Amino acid sequence: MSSRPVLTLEGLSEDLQLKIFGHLNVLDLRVAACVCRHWNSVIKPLDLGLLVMTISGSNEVALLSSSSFSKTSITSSIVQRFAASPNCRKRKRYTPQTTRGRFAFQWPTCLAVGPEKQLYLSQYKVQGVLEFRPCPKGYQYRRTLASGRNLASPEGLVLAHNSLYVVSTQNATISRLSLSTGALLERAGPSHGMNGFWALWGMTISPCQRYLLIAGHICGEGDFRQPTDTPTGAILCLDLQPNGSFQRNQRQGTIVGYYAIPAPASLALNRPSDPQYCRHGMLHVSTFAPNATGGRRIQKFCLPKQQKPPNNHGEDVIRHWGWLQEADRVNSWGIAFSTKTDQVFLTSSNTRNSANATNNGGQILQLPTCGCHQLDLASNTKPPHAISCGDLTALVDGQRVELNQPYYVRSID
Amino acid sequence: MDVEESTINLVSAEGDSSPVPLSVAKMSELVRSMMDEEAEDDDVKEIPLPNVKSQVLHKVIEFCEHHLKEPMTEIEKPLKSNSMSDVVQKFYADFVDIEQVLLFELILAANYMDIKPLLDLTCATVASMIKGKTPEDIRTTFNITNDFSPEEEAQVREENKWCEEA
Repeated sequence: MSSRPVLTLEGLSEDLQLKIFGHLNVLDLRVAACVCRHWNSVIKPLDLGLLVMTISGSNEVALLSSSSFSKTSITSSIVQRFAASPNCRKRKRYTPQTTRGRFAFQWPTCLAVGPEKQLYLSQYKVQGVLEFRPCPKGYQYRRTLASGRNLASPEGLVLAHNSLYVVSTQNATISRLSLSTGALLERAGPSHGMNGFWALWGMTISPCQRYLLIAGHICGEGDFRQPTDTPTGAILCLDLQPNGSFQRNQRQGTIVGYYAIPAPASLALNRPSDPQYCRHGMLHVSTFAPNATGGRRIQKFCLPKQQKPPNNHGEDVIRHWGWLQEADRVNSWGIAFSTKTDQVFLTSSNTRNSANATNNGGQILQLPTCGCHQLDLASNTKPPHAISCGDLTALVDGQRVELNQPYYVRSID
Repeated sequence: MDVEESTINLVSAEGDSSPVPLSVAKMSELVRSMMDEEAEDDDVKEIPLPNVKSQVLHKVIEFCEHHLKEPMTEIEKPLKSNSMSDVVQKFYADFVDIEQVLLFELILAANYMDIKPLLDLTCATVASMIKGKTPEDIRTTFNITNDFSPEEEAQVREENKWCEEA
């Protein structure tokens, strides 16, 4: 040191610079990567992905790094936790009137991330959707995009076609809202002939952007959030036109409602929750194992690129591949896939219905792959089976950080 | 009456000798291992540290002496604040309130002498000077030249974009 004094930060070795960067969160690292070429080359190999998740039991949203940075000893960490509520001090309290309302969650459930990283959040308390915008520290509340009885018990959210599609569990409907004003554009219910008292949960859109896929089940008596004695779950589908409008009956002009996609008998879904596509185009759904006394598992299946129209008289259009072996029985509710890697992220909550606000043992778990690479997609003979996805690790463990019912999770690149 | 602890001399790059109690000196894994290697030689009373200047060595000794009396709070990653007084005790926050040149030399010395808490403290201090700032602010703080071409910079900013203000 005496012979060659190092007077600048750039003069430190890469190892020492990484030790310094190891004290920064992902948002600060993203800024630091823009300082100069050398810093960019040091930071670029790190995974600067983010996850955002709802912590329903404590009315919070958490923003966290999607990697444990194990090679550089940077630990996965929560960048920000913020209240999933509007800024208003006084809001009219929501007093549930119906059976579904009485059992309802009080706090946030599903979320969707926009192209400018804006965050949309289903919030039971306001019966609507909140919008948050990114800020240097993470997110800050921007506005209540829409609220009202039409959106009571909001769940699944999908952002596509410059619209926001929202599930209302209480009304068993899907609403299409204007992204700029929040105005209701269209509303769809069940298609003709769908019997039973359907509860709708998470929702996603097909890679071709033409179908909304919703996890739903026919409720039993009592608490509609609970699994049923025999599986009544299904993947529901709502057809969209190329511009994102709901598909209409050509002669009558009325909206064609959502319908249950016929599934093979081996695919028994019980109180399914979060349907999500991996980047290989396979659909994954979190659900209770067929036997309601068992834990939850992640089922994997594929849908043909061209969906059949409704009422196709029971023809199987879902190919069930099996379940993610290492995620079995960890009580997964939310699923997210990295868009850049094969990584899978799961929220895990020990409560049976993820709504009893007493559990602090939630976790965010990570699987290295979704297991698609080992599937022989051309095969028509293999039965559904457990698919190995590598070691399941905890990104954030509820034993160390209080996580009261982590529910849905989404990946942000 | 307390038995006086034996001392050892740490010798800086300039040849200045600083006597320090063994317990203080042994906070450095480098010193500890050098003493272990020479354990059978009773005459070893000096440890040469040719990579550490006298001014820096005095700061290192000050840190180690205080750390034995009041261990530093473990620094949580990532930093929750860009003020070190929110992260560690007052002594340690004041300890690193120094010129950048000396701070970087302390990082090198802590790394060379293998003193983990000092390395954590100094690295976290530099990180606190980065946290919450814009790229322009960071360049100004550390006198770094922006060597991106306009096209490169636009691409890097787009890749790492979070929000307009950041």
